[in-house]
Amino acid sequence: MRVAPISYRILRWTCVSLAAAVTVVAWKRFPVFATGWHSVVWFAAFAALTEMLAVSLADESLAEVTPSSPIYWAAAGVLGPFQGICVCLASWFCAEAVGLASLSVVRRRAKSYAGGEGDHPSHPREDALWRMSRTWEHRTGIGILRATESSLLYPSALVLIAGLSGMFYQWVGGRFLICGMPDQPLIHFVLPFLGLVVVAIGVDMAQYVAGMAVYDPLPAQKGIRGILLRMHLELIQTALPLMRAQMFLVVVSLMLAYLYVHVGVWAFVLTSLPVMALRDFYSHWVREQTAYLDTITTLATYMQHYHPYTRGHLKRVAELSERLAREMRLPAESIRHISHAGLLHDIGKIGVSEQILDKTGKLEPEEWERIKAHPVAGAEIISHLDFLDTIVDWIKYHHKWHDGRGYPDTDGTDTIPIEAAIIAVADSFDAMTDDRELSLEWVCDSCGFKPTDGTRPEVCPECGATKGRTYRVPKTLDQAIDELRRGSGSQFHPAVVKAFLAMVARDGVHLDVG
Amino acid sequence: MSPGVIAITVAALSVSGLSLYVSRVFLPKRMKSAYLKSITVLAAAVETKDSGTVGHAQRVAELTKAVARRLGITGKELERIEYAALLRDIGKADVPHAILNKVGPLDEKEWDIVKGHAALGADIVAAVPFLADCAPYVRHHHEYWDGTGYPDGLKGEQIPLGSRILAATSDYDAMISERPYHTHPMTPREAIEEIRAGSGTRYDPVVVEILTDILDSQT
Repeated sequence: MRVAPISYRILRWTCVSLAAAVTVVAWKRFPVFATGWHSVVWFAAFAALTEMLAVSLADESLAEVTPSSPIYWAAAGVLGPFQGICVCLASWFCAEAVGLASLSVVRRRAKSYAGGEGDHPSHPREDALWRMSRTWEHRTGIGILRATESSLLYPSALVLIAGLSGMFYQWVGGRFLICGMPDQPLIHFVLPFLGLVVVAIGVDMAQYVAGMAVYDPLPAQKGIRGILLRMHLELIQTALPLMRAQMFLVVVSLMLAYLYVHVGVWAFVLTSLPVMALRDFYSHWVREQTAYLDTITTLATYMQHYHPYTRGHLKRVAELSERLAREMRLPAESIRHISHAGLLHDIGKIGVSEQILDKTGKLEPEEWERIKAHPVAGAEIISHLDFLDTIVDWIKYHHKWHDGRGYPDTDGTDTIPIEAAIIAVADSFDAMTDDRELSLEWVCDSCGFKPTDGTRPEVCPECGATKGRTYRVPKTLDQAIDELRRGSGSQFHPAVVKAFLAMVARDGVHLDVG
Repeated sequence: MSPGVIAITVAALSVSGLSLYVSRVFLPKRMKSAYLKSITVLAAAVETKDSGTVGHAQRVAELTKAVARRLGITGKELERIEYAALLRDIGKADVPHAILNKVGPLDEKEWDIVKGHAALGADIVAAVPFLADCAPYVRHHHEYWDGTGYPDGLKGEQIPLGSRILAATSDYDAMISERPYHTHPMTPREAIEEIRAGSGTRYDPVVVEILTDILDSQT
């Protein structure tokens, strides 16, 4: 978990202050129903239950999806903005209390089986406990001020969602249903309620997008432009797909609001089924995404066992490619997949024996053919996996030169994807600067002479033959950059080289993986 | 109850039905086919290195599944055994080509490297959540009934059932296929006899009985 930059902390406090302001406005300016308070309790209790059903998106981030949003929307529509806010705060408070309680339970358990293996219990019930305590586990390590900050962000987002959407609902003519169902056709309730949901989703997305952008702005631009670009990217990459999924929740929310007015508390019983179904969907969806990542990791692991020298190389190429893609502001889809492509770009070498891959001498023509076949072979392997369809061509053309040389041979009509050009630059740069060749023995290609003093001459001192393959001795950063610059337009795509130079000039290389 | 309440309830119930269908039927189905494809891809990668030909893993998997079914294994367990059959040699990633394709007997050091593939394969598989369950089968697929196998020298029923089946089926496939060090493969008939001869020493007698029965009906 990286430390949040100062701009992110400012954003958090802005969010909290806005939420406080909205609460005050909702309290003073909007109706607060005396009959509504027991409903607040019911809604809050139900929402707190669903908060505990959160599904973690991935292990390294603390991000979670919960099926709770339709309940907050319904609360805002039924009870009005202020009591809607109260529902949010109360349910958040309950969920936090449960989280804290599970942390203490988990800690006690951990103590009781201290010395046993791992801190991650494997029983599903323990698993749920552990998951709920996770945020608190994290918070105890970061100091009281930061912990408060990070714990206040979520409720203030909820307050903004419920408050603003409730206000909007009244503004477009919706009536708060706690006063009874109006005698108008259903559509007079449904339309303003849809407006409420749109505002709620909008506020949610804005908060998320701004948060992500400030937390991790695009490196290509400094200051506010980087943040804006990142916002744009995040909007397309995550927010819009999530929004599509949220529209589906409208039905659940409508149902809860409408039924609550007609059948009271039974509405929660009836709604719990779709909510549980939704939760089920989330968890399966997350599991599917993880399975895809697992597959990629497994393939890369296999590759690394197969050819141990690639261990660090694959990770470095993956990281470098991703940075380049961001630098060049490629579409979000490309940025998301290019690190996978970096990890898998050499997967086609699985068919090539390691004597050829590690041969220090000159390659025989048929050996060279085997090597040249690897991009196509890799693309073949990847094409069997539907979820990696996007990267098939990136892998196929990562040894194709910008001027049409390189391999595989094409009839000149294929367009080389820019992602392939990026991987090519990252791959070559890493190969040039990598010192793995130093661990291989230096042998003369023609007479088989091996120097005893550990030197790696360019010309064999015994027979005078020049060394066959390039990249023998790792180049320094400057030499490698020169090489890239020289190859720009012939071997490498000029735009990629330009982006690479800009990136290195600004951030340096600092590859800290592997 | 007003018609509005009924209409909304019906709508919401159908939405949840749809969502349940997606998460319980559609996604798992898609996921399973993605798993199977990933495993096939991996198996193909493994085979390309091992023998240069693809298809043996599929064949062994089919045979193993047939035997397992006859032993009454179904569902997830059957799937696990199938995956293990496809990936049993994934640990050969570490074994150099020179050893894998060596013509002539291996020396002791080379043998040790080859033997390492069972344990390494299990480690690779265990690191993948959706494959972790089949790691024991991969690890023990070279154990023999009388305890003379590797890596752990397990005996009899100590060896997981899936591995006992796998030991027999993968040996059968190796006997009938051509390799650089094995240029005159046996005919299926000879191989069946060989497997039968190993019943109670190398292989689980129950497994041998079922396997030979299946093979007899095929040939």
